[in-house]
Amino acid sequence: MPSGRGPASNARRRLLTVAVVATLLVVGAGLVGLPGVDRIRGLSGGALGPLERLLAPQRDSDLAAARAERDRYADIARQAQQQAHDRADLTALLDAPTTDGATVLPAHVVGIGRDGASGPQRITLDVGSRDGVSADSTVVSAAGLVGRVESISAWTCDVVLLGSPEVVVGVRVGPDGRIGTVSATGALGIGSSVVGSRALRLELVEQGEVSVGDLVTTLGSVDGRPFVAGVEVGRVTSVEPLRGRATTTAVVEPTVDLGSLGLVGILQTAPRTQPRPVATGGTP
Amino acid sequence: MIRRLVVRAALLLLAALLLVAMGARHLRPTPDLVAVIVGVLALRSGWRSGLGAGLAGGWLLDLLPPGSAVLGSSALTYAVAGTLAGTLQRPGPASWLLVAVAAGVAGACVTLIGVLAALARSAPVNLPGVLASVAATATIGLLLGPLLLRLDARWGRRA
Repeated sequence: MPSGRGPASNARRRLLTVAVVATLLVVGAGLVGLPGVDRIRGLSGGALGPLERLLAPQRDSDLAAARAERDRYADIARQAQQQAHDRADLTALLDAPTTDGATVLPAHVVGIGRDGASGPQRITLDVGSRDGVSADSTVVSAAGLVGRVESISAWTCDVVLLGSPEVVVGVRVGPDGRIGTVSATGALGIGSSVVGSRALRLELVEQGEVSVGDLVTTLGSVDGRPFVAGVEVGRVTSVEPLRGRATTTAVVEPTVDLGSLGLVGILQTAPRTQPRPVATGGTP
Repeated sequence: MIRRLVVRAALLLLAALLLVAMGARHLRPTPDLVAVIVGVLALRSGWRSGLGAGLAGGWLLDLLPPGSAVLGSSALTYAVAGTLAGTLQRPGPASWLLVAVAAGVAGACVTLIGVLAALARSAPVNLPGVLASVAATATIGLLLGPLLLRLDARWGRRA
């Protein structure tokens, strides 16, 4: 594209300026949380989501249709292997303590967003509003907490992963169930071992005893959204010296390996409709 | 002109789709294919075209599920990367090495902005992963760059 000075070149320059200004306005609107931005995301998900599903890792039914006759027997073997793998993943998910007694919608990862500096931060699943997915649902794998559903289109939904800057999880730590929060923010200052890992930062609401190896589970939210209670988040790997701090801080290694996610489950929770019964003290 | 724009848009869309699909297949390190296209187009047509290609490619990544945390942030990041890569434009045909450097510069710029954003909020930085990704981007630029340049030049002549 020659950078001439004719009318066409001027028009292109003006178009670029308008595009840059419009982008800056959208970024500004997103940062202050204007509602229209999520609508754009939903519309683009509806339009581009199906394209992404086409390029997703092949599943059993797609394989047989796509292969030529001479590859049929090899395909059948591959299908059986894939089905067995999927079945094993699903069994592991449903047998995990995380999903015990919960209504689970299984979903496959079909897209992973461009890596941030500390790894993937968002994924796309192959289920959407037509499958009954709603915003702020908890997403888990057999190993523990994956993240929460952020935006939904008809056939896909986007999940913000644990460790993204937007995700702060209320947690209970250790056998005493001490309350705190887990997030990615601030983890760098805790120790050099954090660099190169997806370690998270645990901050208790007040000073308290935390030991290496303590289990960290979700505290739970109202109606189980965005996080149901008792889902495994990770384990404490180091505790920072207090050094005059008002609260105890520690490093948590997540139990879920986000780099190898395949099958996950979306926990379906419904708002409470019945008032909670009162109890009388002193009665068994 | 229109045909060339359509080809460039198609290349960017394909790169964005492949980038997301490669992530879903857990291929690591993931080369930033959008940065490769933006770098090559910037090298061929200058910083202003690099800025435009970066904006368009970044917007595709912003809109393609799962998108980015802040809508439009990838567009601005790639626009800066395209502008920088465009400053490498030289008269005459570009060498294979220069094409790889342009792709690498675009990829490194996108990565550096991500690292700075992470450091600003004291988030952990996966340094080996980041460096491997930039190296993979430059390598893909070396392999595919000359082909992409030839494709773009061919459509430019026909337009």
